[in-house]
Parts: sequence; C-alpha cells; structure tokens
Amino acid sequence: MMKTLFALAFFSLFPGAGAQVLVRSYFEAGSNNASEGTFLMHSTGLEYGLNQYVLAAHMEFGMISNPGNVLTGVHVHGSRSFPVQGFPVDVKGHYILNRFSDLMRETNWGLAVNTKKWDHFFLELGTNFKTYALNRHAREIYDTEPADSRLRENFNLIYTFSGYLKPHNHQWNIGLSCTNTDEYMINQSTNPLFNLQIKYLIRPELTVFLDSWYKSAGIFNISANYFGYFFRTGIKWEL
Amino acid sequence: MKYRLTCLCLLITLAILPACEKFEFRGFISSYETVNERFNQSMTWNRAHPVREVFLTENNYLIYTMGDSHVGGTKNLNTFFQAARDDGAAATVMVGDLTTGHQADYETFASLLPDQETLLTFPLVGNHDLYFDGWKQYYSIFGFSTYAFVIHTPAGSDLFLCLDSGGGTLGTDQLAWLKNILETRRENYRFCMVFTHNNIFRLRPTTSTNPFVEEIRVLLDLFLRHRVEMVVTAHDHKRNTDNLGQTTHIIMDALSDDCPNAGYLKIYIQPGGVDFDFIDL
Repeated sequence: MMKTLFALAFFSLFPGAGAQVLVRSYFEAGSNNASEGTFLMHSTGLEYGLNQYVLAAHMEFGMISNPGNVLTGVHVHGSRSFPVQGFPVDVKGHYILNRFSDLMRETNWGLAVNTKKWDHFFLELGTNFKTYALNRHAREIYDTEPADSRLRENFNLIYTFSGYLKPHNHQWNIGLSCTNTDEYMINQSTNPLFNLQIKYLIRPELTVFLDSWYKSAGIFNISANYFGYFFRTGIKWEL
Repeated sequence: MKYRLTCLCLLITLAILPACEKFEFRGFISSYETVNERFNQSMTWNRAHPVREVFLTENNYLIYTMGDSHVGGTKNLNTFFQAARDDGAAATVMVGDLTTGHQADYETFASLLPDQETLLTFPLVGNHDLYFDGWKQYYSIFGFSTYAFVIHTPAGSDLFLCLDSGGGTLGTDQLAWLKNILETRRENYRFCMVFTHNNIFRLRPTTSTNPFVEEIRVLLDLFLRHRVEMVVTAHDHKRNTDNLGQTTHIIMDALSDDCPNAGYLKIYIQPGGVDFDFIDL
C-alpha cells in the first residue's frame, strides 16, 4: 500500500509528456442509523494518468467518527480506457481497506466496466469481493482459529447509473446517481445510494464539487426505512 | 415493433399481478411506521410485561427456531409446533415473515399459536409482516418485536436478544438498546444469542436485502467484543452458515409451505457449548 502511495507521489513530481496528475480532496459530514451522531471525515488522494491508464490512491481520515481510528480507509484503483468495437469503455480494478474497528477490518476488491459514451450519462457495472476479518490483536484476544478469522462475500454486483444536465466536459454540471458504491464503501446491490451532485470548474485545472447522498434501507426491496445522509464537498486540482 | 412492446408490457403486468398479494409496492418506498416508532412501542409493551425468564431443572435444553412461514399455508407451521412440543423444546423463536401482512393471515397465525403453558413462543417481525399496514396486526397479537429473554438452568443462565430488522435497519434507538444491553448485562450470562429477520451477510448471490454495511460493521464489532455465540436469521429462504470470531452466523431455510427446501432449526444448549441442526420438511 505504502509503495503505491510513494510511486504515485514520485510520478506526480515528474509528470511525463501527456501525463496528468490530479489531487482530489474533500470533507464529508452527515449521520446515519449506525454513526451515533454526526460524523466528519476527510479524504485526500492522488491520481496519475498516462495515455489511457490511470492509477490512483486515496486515504480517508476519521475526524469525528465512532471507530476511533484516525486512518479509517484506503482506496487504490487503476483503470485502462479502450474502445470495444468503437464503443469507449474503461476497465477499472479497485482495492478498498476500511478500518472500521480496532478489532476488525473490511476489504473489498473487484472489477468494473464503465462508459461515458453518452454526453449526459455515466454507466458502470462490475463485481466485488468483500472480506470481513479480525486483525491480529483480536485473534489473540479471542483465541480465534484462522478459519474463523474472516468471512467472505463473493461476486456482489456493483453498479452506478448517473444522469447529467450538461455534457461531461461542461464548465458546470448537475447530476443524479443511483449506485451501491462509494469511495471507501461497497454496499450490497439491494442497498442503493442516491447522490445529487454539483460541480463547477473555477479554472481549467480546478474543479469544486458538492455531493449530497441519501440512504434508505430496504428501498425498492422490502419495507423501506430512512437510514442516513451526508454531504461531501471538495476540490479536484490538476497539477 | 409496437405489437412486440404491447405483448412485453402485458407479460410483465401478468407476472406482477399475482405477486401483488405478497408484495406491497407502497412498502418499497416508505413504511407505515419508522423502525424507531416500532421499537418504542415494543419498549412500552416490555415495560408493562417485564423480561421473560424461563427456569429449567435440566442443564441441557432445546430451542426450536423457524422463519419465513408466510402464513397463508399452515401445514409446515403445524408440523413445527408439534415437533417442538414432542421434543420438549424449552422455547420456540419465530424469526419473522410469519405472515404475508394480510389481516386474515394474522388471524390464521394467531389461531395456531400454542398455549404458552405448553410451548413458549417468541415472535419477531419480518418485512412481509409489515406489508399492508401489518404492524398494527402484529402488535395487537404479539405486542413486541424487540426484547430479551433469559433461560436459567442449574449450570448457567443464557441471554437471548430479539431484534426488529423488518425495515432493513435496526434504527438508532434499537441499536443503542442492543449496545447498552450487551455492555451492561452480557457478562452476567453464560451464552448469548441474537435473533433477527434480515440475514446480515450475503453468503450466496441473492436478491434478499441485508443491512447497510455501516450497520453491519457496528454489529460485527459488538458481536465480537461481547462474545455473542450465535446470530440466527432468516429472510434469504435458503440455509447458510459461517463463523466470524466466536460467533456462528446462521441463515435458515424458509418454513413456508411453498418453499421446496422448507425447514427449521434446532439449537442444542449444553454446559459444554451450543450446537445446531437444520431439519428438512
């Protein structure tokens, strides 16, 4: 993990011809049924793009959150763009570590395919493999057999459907997404999140964004109940 | 093309119509009560009816557990109650989706409930029980969906926690109640078991709903920290088990007459530990 971060930092110092280095940083605040009040998180990451490849690493810090950990999440992803019979797609692999407790962690890895073929839409489909695991400290305290120290959920569908008022490269845009993924979290396919998002290009290299996320448990599937919301605001800065 | 589209719409309509008696589309968007409202009603009932305690003279005992009976049909439900009585079960726990939510089905279910003197029954609400404004029927028959009960034996006392996840989330108040009871009372008991309708994990590709990941993380931390031995759920209609830490997570088969793999669960509690068996019908 640290090697990836150092590699990204190194690449960002010496961007080659055609290379693109982007910093993405944001704060988010909100609450949900499990957060025991308001949470405040911060995330910062680097994305390094060269030709049709992108490699990115982000870290999340809990400023006010119930796990008690300072570094709560790491998200590394890489993608490659190419056309399939003239149809532009990105194939993306991801790895997410979430340190949600001082005893346990959650990891996700998977693959997804997305496209911005249409000016006003973004579509993504993929699959995810999730593991909940006890850390070494917990295994020692609770004298746990190795076989009982982790639990896996395989082949979970991941999806994002987004619609935008303006084309993708417009100076400002407003969009609405339905997805079961977020920066440091992959939810089950039956738990969609709704994200109303606004972006504005202050300068060609600097974008500010504001997202509002809404979560409803059991929506479209069982007896729906409110679960939570949060707001996220930050910048994307091309170095 | 227009003809094909018309046929497709007609087929979809015909496919959806029979399901309307089992699914309520209003519930998919908004429930009649919030989970916090149901929890508070359960707590009101609990205050009037203090914690149930069962005293046994034997050290070994049996708990019969079932979920997803989806009454209407009553054949498997009768078989379950009869087997529990014949086996001398200390109690039965019914882990939600007991009915389809319709008043007539609640009345049928209530008419089949054993006399509490002959067989103790502990109910839980599931998502189907909430459809068609079903909570009012559930509450009038059972009174509670969030509660604790205790079984005492000469060798030790065991704590059983029953949670309402019919709306896909435990909600803030119920989660705080669970956390408080585990922090303040768990240490007084030998074994601790949790029952709730929604399966926490997705151990196979399925369309059944689980709690949000944020809620799962909090629950897993609590279960590990407070040494919960077993978490018994239903909802997915197909049995599955896995262990995480000291906790065995169980998803039961549905008991419904319409389920081809219908079954229930027997939990054996002995001084040496807790074990279980799936029973096929």
